[in-house]
Amino acid sequence: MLRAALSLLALPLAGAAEQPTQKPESLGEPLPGLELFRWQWHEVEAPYLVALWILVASLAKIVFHLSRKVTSLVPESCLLILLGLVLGGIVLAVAKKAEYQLEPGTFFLFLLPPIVLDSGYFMPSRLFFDNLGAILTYAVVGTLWNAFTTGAALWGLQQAGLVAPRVQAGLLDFLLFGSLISAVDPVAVLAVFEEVHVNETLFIIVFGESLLNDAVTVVLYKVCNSFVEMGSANVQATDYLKGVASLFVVSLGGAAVGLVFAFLLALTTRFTKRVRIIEPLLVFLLAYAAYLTAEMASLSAILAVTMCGLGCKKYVEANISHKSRTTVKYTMKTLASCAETVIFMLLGISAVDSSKWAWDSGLVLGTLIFILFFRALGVVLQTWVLNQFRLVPLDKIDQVVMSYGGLRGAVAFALVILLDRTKVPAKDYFVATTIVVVFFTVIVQGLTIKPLVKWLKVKRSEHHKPTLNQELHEHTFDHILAAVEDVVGHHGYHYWRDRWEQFDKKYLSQLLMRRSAYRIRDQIWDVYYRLNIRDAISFVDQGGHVLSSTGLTLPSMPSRNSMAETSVTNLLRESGSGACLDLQVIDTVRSGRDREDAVMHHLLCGGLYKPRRRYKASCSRHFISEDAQERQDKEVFQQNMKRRLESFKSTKHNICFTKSKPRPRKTGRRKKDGVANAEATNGKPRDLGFQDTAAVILTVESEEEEEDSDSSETEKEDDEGIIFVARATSEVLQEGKVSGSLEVCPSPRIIPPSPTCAEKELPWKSGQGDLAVYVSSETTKIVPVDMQTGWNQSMSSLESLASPPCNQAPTLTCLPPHPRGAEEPQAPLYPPSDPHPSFAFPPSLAKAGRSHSESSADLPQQQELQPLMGHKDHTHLSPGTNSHWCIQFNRGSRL
Amino acid sequence: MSTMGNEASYPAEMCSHFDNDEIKRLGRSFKKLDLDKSGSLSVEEFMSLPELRHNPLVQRVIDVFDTDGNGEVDFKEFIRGASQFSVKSDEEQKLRFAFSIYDMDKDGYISNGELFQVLKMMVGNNLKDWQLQQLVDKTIIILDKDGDGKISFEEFSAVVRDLEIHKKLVLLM
Repeated sequence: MLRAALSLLALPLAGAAEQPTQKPESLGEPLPGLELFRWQWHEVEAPYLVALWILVASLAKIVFHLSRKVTSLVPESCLLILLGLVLGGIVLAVAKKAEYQLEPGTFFLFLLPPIVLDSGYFMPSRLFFDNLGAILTYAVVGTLWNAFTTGAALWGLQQAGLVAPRVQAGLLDFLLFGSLISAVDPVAVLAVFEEVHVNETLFIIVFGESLLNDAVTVVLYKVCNSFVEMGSANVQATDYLKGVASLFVVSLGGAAVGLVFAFLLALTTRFTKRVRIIEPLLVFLLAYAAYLTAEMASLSAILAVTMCGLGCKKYVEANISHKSRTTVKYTMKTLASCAETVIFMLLGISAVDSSKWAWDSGLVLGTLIFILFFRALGVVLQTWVLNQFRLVPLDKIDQVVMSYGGLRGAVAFALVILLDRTKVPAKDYFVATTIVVVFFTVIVQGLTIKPLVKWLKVKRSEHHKPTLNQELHEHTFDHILAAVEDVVGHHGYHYWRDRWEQFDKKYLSQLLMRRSAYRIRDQIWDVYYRLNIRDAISFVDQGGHVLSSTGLTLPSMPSRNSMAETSVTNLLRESGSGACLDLQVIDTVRSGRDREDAVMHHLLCGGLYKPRRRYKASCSRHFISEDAQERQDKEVFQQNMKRRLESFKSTKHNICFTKSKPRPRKTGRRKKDGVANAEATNGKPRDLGFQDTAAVILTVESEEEEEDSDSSETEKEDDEGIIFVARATSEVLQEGKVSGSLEVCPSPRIIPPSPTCAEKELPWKSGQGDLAVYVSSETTKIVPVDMQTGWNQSMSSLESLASPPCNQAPTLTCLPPHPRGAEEPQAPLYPPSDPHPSFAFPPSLAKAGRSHSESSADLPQQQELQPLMGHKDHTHLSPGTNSHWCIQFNRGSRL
Repeated sequence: MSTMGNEASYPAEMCSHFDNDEIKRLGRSFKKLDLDKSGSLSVEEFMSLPELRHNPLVQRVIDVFDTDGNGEVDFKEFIRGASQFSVKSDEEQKLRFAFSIYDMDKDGYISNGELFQVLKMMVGNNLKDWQLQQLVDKTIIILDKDGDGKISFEEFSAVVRDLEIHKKLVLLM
């Protein structure tokens, strides 16, 4: 219709002839003279239509989601199919012929790859590999079972005379049909299950099956198809053997192609450091190349792309920049979603074309019943076998969902369209049946699976992030398991995983990851850093809002500063209060607590020793380098040996020997908190949470300093970011000092915090508690009603600090020798850095900071206030020095 | 080999959930470990296994295995300890085991210091002590429902049960 309408418009609309040279129009005689206006519909037709269809599909999606009620009840795929039906009807009515169908070529070459790539790339790999046995069983055995039983049963049905005799099909034809109708479809499964949110194990089993069964489907389809084309009489025994062999060739070949391209992709991204902009493109190109290559060699293309995505992710993610990662993610999701939408819509449209299909009730009903029945039977049988080996058996409810979730989709439809009518006389009947099956599974089962899941109380997936406790205990348990495994002398499953890990660390990672990525021990810093940025951004909004709502502006403060400060302040306050031991505070400030958890989580990820059995899983996100592994082994070994020695020296009762060791440190912390506390309570009590926090300093080595100090500016600006310093460094030093000096204190809880030297000597410790010492506490203060006076006050108070005696240096020198090497590098971690010019403090604050550091002249330069936010001023560093990122976070620790 | 599983059945005798075959197999591993043929495993003997030497929690595991506290693990203790990881042992036992890993002085509570030490074993020098202390404090806060500053078994299992981590404490022997 559209085409017709537009081609009408394509008639030359030339006005009066003005210039002669014109290409002759397709319609009408060549017109001399320039056309003022000319339609060139045919030149743009194809891409235009593609774009239009996608646009229609996207708009439809938007419309569906206007009503939350509809989308919560009806899966999007159903709506899209229905919309397709309607559109197809319109097209049919207007154009009198069915147009814009789901062409198998388009489907396999353009629509399917993005979906598969997306699912392969973002496949939760640990979950996938943990359940690989079950997935493979269902994918291979299950699909074979479904194909043969369905085909044979249909043939039986025909023999029994329940299928109309006009359906001319023999056993082979039915087996062929069975092979294409039996495969669970990844697109349909993904579309429906993503909305249902069943628990991960269930999801990964059904979804993994739908991805991996492609190889089986392809082989079965091809083998059956060629048998049908050869004619059953000509099929020889060797052909069956070849059929079996081709199963291995197709599946393993597909996987191999995928892995080769994954390797190439990882290797390529290793060298994209200077052309970051093409990184996302490379990912898509090479993955698509994998798909096409596999398709070309008639291997399992789905398997190839899945393996490519699975295999390359770890290395690619490590190599490409943060922005590229985001781009890859979103582009992939967009493409996949787009393809999925178009597929379902075209499915609906294609169904309208009645010229393609012929109806036979017996066949349709029989197929529907058989696929449901045999799917269920297959699942039950296989699960029974699998449960003999699984330690977490799949229970009945899981089996119901798995049976019911066996959705058929566009793959089956495309395959059935591909059949050759001359060789398969019953093609039209098969097409009709396939359409009905696909519609039934997607619409009826898709609609009912949600209520079913609810009704059966299937365990849903939980979306909460792993809590601190979970993280901790899981690590502990993994270590325990590893230990007990070793104690009882049992090695098996994890042995190979371990071997693979070793191989990966020794060769693959070194080959495929750029050195900087490889060297960064874990990505915890990256995560931590991103977390900071995200918080800052959200707090900028929040902070701006708070300021404007109170109608206050900070006169002397450039707006950007105030925003940033407020943000960081809020950040501090929030995370600080989360750390406060007062449970009520924790409960009320949920967001703060959650963030705290997240931060701790990442801290743990980075800090905890990797248990043997967890290498695999953790490598995707937090890979540890080989030397880290060795280092860990060495450390643990030394610790164990030390502990042995200690327990040698002590009697059995003296288990507390080791125990007493960390105590002093804790004391130190306590005491330090005491300091902070005293400081806080001297004046009116301020935000306790903030005051009681300890600074966590993270120094992140920038990736860019790799080998060339001349790394391009743009890249720096691109990928590096913001320094958040949540607190003036004085406190950090203080902390180091205090924790040292506190060795004296026997027990933190019993002995009330005695004033430290710092407390005694720092003038502002007495009386000025209310007034800000650091930037952060400055803004933490409740904004006074009269902002101007408050501001002036704090200004003057800050200036009054300009004359504290040389206070901290002596305490530093009177430190007892620090017992732990671990804490010493703390101060040096601080890079000497100046506030970035673009991020100047408000004059008063800057002044305060300066005067502060001037006053304590003995203190190292680190004392100076850190920029709250801003680029690292790399001009201050000699070329070649590592650029440090200083992320300081306030952690609570007070008891 | 070790996946999840949770089948509840109470121990018939001596907490051993093994059949004869399994006991025999465990006996073989025991003998292999028992270098001096003393009938009990000393820590040195455990440490003769290179993998164990690199396990940060091995000392704790040995201590928990060593129920009578004589510093050596005899065969009974060995079987009893391993049996807690059997599929047949119940949730409670697994939680107990995990709890006792943390509860170093066996007083029924995980104190701040104990948690610190256990975590210290697991992080080594990867984290600074003060970072670790924050972590410990934080964990205690979350777990400690009655506010006594230490974690009882009930408090511990309430959280861990929720996480269903005990399901993972399973080894197929």
